[in-house]
Amino acid sequence: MDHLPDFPENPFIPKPFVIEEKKRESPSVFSLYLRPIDQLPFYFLPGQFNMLSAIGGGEAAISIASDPTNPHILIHTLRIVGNVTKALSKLDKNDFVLVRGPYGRGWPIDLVKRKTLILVAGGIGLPPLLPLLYIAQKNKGYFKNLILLYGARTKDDLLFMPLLYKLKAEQIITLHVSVDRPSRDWKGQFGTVTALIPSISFDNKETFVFSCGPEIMMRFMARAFIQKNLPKEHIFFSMERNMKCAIGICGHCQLSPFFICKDGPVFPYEKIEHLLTVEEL
Amino acid sequence: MNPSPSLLCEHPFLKGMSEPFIHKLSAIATHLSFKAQSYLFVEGQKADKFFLLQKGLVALETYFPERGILVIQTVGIGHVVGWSWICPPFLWHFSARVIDPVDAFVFDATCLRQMMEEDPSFGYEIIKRIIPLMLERLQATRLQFLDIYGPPS
Ligand SMILES: Cc1cc2nc3c(=O)[nH]c(=O)nc-3n(C[C@H](O)[C@H](O)[C@H](O)COP(=O)(O)OP(=O)(O)OC[C@H]3O[C@@H](n4cnc5c(N)ncnc54)[C@H](O)[C@@H]3O)c2cc1C
Ligand code: FES
Repeated sequence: MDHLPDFPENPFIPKPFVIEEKKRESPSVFSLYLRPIDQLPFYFLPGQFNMLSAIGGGEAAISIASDPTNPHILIHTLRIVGNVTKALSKLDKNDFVLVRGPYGRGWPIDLVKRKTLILVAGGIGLPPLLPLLYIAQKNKGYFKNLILLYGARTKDDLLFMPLLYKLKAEQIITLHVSVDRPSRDWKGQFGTVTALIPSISFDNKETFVFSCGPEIMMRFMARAFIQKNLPKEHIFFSMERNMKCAIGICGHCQLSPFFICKDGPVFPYEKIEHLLTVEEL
Repeated sequence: MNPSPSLLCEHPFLKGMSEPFIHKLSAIATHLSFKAQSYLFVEGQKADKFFLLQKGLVALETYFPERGILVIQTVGIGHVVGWSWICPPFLWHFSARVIDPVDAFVFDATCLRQMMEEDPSFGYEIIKRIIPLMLERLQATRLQFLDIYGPPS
């Protein structure tokens, strides 16, 4: 590792954390509440991610979903899609998880202080936005208004609804939820989350949008806001690509001139708009 | 009672419309409230009304043999409900059931169509406002078909 002089220690050596609690959030999604074995506080910025692994189970990039003001408990919410997430899903309370991080550039939270912030989350895109909700809860008045537009496939796929309803009842967020697939027991809005945008009103100069979810959703979401005259530079995306090193060396996460792990995962829409429709990028 | 032109022009669909056109619309409009679970219109019936929602939430639904009544989309504040009155055979393609109590401006669509025929500049103004909404609804439907939140392939 002589060629990596900037790193104070070997950046590939993970830290062990113990699972304090494991929660099922939906049929394919679970959360891990982790405590560092060395008891040292784990500081991060909203929108950053960690590389997570079960011992011997490979690594995956997973966003940090916890309260940034509580550095003693680290929360990750994962959807089981492949080998790494499956291996992590088999772990239980008191088992160990290996963590490298935090990595990447998070949400530009200073830019949105005392402004209206609209969060647009689709499916498993909600967890990286949760730290912002905790900031709003702990620091009332940080945002002028906080609006959450949240879409999922079905009612059963909606995550963290008790928390969201609580924040809504405490008037910390304005909540709009929509599901994509009809079911008899869902009494709210139907349609993808982008369909919620035309009916909300906001002051263009004072409003910013942070979004995380399927890339196609974010693309359509951005267009819908631009159609409502929101300046492009007020829109930010959290991007995903498969990652390996997470520190800008291996090139696995490359998106044309950017490395998502180092230059992102949060990008101004303006910077990446032209790359979003290029095949195989 | 007809809603006043000043009240009508507050609706997002009509914002910026010229005064004479707003007056025309006011003459054929009523201001109505609908309770939860009532229907604005029912699939297959004559499409003779046009709704601008001021408050509430409406589900567009259809009957699916063996699966019962299915919601296709919901439409909320500031939106238009119903455009089957524009094209023959002027029959509703879906039913519109109220989920959250609705306040709406309701227009006599037969009169509206006639006024649009007689005054093409008025007709064009209405169509210009309806088409972006149709496009928006079409895009939303296309995204729904893509199953964007589904598991990665
Ligand atoms: C910055 C960042 C933050 C992330 N945050 C979270 C999070 O909070 N929770 C979470 O569950 N996941 C998150 N992910 C996604 C997660 O890293 C991937 O799903 C990872 O590949 C899972 O590893 P696996 O071995 O379980 O699945 P794999 O074996 O890698 O993949 C399984 C299937 O999913 C497909 N796939 C893998 N990754 C992606 C992707 N990113 N987009 C679309 N399809 C993909 C593969 O092609 C394959 O078909 C994040 C990714 C990034 C880059
Ligand atoms: S993951 Fe290696 S460069 Fe980004």
